[in-house]
Amino acid sequence: MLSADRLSVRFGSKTALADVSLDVPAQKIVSVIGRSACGKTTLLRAFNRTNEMIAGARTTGTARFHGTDLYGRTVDPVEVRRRIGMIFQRATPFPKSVFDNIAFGPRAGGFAGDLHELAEEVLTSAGLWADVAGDLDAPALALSAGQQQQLCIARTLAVRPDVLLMDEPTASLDPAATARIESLVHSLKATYTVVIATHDLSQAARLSDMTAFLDAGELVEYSPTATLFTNPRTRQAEEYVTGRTS
Amino acid sequence: MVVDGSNSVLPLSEAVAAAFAERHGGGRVALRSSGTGGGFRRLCDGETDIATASRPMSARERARCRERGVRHVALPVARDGVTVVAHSRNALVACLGLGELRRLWAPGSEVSTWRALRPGLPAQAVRLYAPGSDSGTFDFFTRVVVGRAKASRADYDPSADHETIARGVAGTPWAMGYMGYAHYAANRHALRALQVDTGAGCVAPSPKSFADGSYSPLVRELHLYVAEDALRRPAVGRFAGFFVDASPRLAPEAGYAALSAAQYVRSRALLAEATRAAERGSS
Amino acid sequence: MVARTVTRPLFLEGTGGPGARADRVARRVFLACAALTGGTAAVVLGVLAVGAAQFFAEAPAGGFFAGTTWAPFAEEPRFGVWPLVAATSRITIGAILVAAPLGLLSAVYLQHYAGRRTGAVVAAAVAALASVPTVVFGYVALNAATPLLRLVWPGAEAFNGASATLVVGLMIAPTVAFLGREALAAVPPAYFHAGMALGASRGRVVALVVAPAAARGIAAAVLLAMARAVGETMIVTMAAGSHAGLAWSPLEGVRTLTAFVAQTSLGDIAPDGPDFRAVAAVAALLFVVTYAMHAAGRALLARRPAGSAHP
Ligand SMILES: Nc1ncnc2c1ncn2[C@@H]1O[C@H](COP(=O)(O)OP(=O)(O)OP(=O)(O)O)[C@@H](O)[C@H]1O
Ligand SMILES: [Mg+2]
Repeated sequence: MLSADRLSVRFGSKTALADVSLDVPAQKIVSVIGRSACGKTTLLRAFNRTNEMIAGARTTGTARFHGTDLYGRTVDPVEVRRRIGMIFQRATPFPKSVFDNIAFGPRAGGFAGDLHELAEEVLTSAGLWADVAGDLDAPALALSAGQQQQLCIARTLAVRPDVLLMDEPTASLDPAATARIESLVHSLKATYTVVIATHDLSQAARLSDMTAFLDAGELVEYSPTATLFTNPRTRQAEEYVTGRTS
Repeated sequence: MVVDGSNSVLPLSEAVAAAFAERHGGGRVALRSSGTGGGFRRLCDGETDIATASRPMSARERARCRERGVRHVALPVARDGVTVVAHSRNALVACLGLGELRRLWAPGSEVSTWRALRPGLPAQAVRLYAPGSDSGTFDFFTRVVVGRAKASRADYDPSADHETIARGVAGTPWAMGYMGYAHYAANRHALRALQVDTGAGCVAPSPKSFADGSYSPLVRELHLYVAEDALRRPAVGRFAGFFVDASPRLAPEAGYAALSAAQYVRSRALLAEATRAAERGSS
Repeated sequence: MVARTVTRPLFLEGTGGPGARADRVARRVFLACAALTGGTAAVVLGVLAVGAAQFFAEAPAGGFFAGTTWAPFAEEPRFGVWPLVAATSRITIGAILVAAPLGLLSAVYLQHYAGRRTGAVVAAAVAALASVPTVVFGYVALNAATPLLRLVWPGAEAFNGASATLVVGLMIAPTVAFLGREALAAVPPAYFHAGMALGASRGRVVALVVAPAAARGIAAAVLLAMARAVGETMIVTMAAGSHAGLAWSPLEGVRTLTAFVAQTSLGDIAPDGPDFRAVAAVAALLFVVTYAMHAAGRALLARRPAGSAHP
């Protein structure tokens, strides 16, 4: 459903992603693993055209969504981002109320329904409803780090995307919050296609159906998760998942 | 050499300074125009060598000068008439009586439209532009028109610079103001000079009417006040002498009336005497 | 050989060395410069304060602040400063109405829309506008803005508030643009990226997320620009006139606080006369107002918005 074909991204003269080709099946969770700076974030951002907001970024190759080239001339990047939502490594709630954070995306898309209903629905999906139901006008920045990340997920769900790109969503959270987010991701699988970048190999193993291993911008191996962790085809992947480094 | 004082004298000072530079070369003359009052003050503070004046020094100013030990000599150089001007497209008014001017300019005057000044004129607001309170022209005009020096309505646009007054009147429909004739002459294409009825009929301001006495109540003599101490420097004496000698020719060109030949001879004699006194003082 | 442990006395030994002596000399030079600056400020403030005190000893403060007639040099002087305050306020407010949209839109353009090259060109143009001497702006107001204004409204006076207001607005627009851009740049980029990732247009993200997050900085930019407008002297002296009336039409001449000080001081005032005391009173008022605006602006800048911990 979502696919990359010889996708490359350069920042100035530096190649962050080199000739990556892969297919993300619908209603599956795909995890992207690899050492720091291998290009995980860049790959995710390439799928919803947010690299182009960075000065000096250049994308080549194609990314397709339901067969449509996301970088095609007639494609509106705003529409791409509405269909393919992204959650960042660090929670970035706006310095506004919880409700306004949720409402921002739907309002931008001309949402005509009941925003309160929508807020309750997505906050419930994100497991945050019980915590904030009493005061939706509370400032989002007053929430804990884990709650902030849940809010950001809810905020993205409110746009009703088809795909969720999650960039290390639990990197700065404690184990309890991490567990909450993980079970949330798991439950989202029924309705969404999820691509999740992570450094936490057990998380990748627990959550995902497919795993992509990137090294220095190149896709080294893309296999079913069970295969990649137990019986990888490549030596680099094996070294990485077993913790041995060359 | 620093010359400061009346803005009304400035066009003449400029003409003389230019001719002086042409004749004697290099002699740097700095011309300022802080107003007659400011010029006197700076002369008596020893800051300047020559003050130009559109009115005589007052008793108070003389006393201040004496206190500071600054002796000076006053040399008449030309005659000038205060000129009442209106916007160039104001063709409805050609002449104003002294009484009308008095009603218009008296302190607290409530004449704010042309109609209030003279029934039959349009009810347009009269915007007024005139010299500020440091000006000799202001002192002179108020003394002649209102009857007391410095007695004037206050809600007009004051300016130390007659060019600003000219610009204001020229650029504001239905405005009027007053200034030295030379400044009017320099802006005559943009302004309309009004005749003044001093009792014996309307008279237009012009060097001729200043000379023959027909514009008389609004005509004053312009002076140079030269500090005696400064006369020890030959350049100052040379410039003052040149000013007196050149005025009969340059004054009419610059928009003033020249004085009689006898008066220039007398100015020359006063200057010579002051120069001798200065030399005596220094030896 | 035993490794040398660096102990405190080793540092103290160095205090007599040539480097330390240079430090001490430099310190004295800096201290002298700072003292000179501070001393000058103290003298200026002292002169203003004494002049203003003498002024208020003669003229009641009530008449000064509430009076509506400003005629300090009339036979019976009237010291109601209201017309001057009204003129300054009108020109300041009018100017910021010109400068705020112009400056803020430039700031947004530079920070979030302009490409590298066009951005550099626009920034250079704004910087050029910022470096124009105010006397040139005054000349423009008098000889370009006023004639143009009179093509539209022939009744406009030779010296009028509207031309001065417009040109003061142009003069302070770069201040709004640069300070506003700094305020926008101080907003964590993550807000912008997150907003864009939610499928909002750039304009919407800037207007609803970035600008509110920069609200304090933007308010400070506007306030500091207004302080410049209040203190602006050359343009209003040249183009707004010297009519200390309570005119309502922007096409009429007005006299601001600064223009009064400048125009009166041009006429060479005596430092012991009543003129000087009136000028000192107006100058002191001007100082208090601009100082308060600067202080408020700095206070806004000092308190960064919450949440800026995120990069
Ligand atoms: N904005 C940018 N400007 C320049 N280079 C960038 C930028 N963002 C990323 N890069 C470079 O691109 C390469 C890939 O970065 P990316 O952020 O995709 O790595 P990552 O795998 O997400 O790393 P991490 O695990 O640390 O998050 C790195 O070498 C990085 O330095
Ligand atoms: Mg990353």
